[in-house]
Amino acid sequence: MSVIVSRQIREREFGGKLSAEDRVVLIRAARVALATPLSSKGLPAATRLLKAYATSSRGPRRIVYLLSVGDGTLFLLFYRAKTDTVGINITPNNAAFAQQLKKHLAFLHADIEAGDYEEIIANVAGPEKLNG
Amino acid sequence: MTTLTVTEARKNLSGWLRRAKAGEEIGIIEGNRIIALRPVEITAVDTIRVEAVQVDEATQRDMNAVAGAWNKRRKGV
Repeated sequence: MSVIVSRQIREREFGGKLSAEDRVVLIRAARVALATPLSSKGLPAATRLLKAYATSSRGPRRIVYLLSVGDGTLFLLFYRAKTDTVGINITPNNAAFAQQLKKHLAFLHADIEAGDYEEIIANVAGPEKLNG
Repeated sequence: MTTLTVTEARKNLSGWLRRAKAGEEIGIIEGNRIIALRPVEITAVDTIRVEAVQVDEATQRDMNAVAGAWNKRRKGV
């Protein structure tokens, strides 16, 4: 299982550096995201947007991943506090979320094309940093 | 176990917490029960719930474009 954290997303969501604790939260949320059975009714086949509600020792976190259904890769888009303008309502009805989602998808796309991302492989023993 | 009333515990709470942290069994009497003071492990994540987010067609196209770029990179195209 891979979690992709692009440079621009990392800088915006974590202020530059991904802490060990945030890394654990990301991986555990990703594992749950992949293990959660979601009804495919009405959901697109190739990619899906998933939001994870995580309670961490630093408080409630709202995490948004783009899931590539084919290979199960998860791309981080948001890592926010519950009270953040995005985290408070992760739906298209929230203008702040809709606006920032478009930007973050563009950042992610550009970073992938440039090879400017970190790939975290989550295995049983723990996360491994492969790239970045 | 050392048992305390709420008033006794309140008088020197920091001291009692230090002793509990060091492994001593400390309990506070509340009604007809004893509530134990004990350290717990903090885990990075306690609970996680996942849901899908419905998006419009334009956003879906952007998402598919990201996946397309990813697949190209993986295949070394």
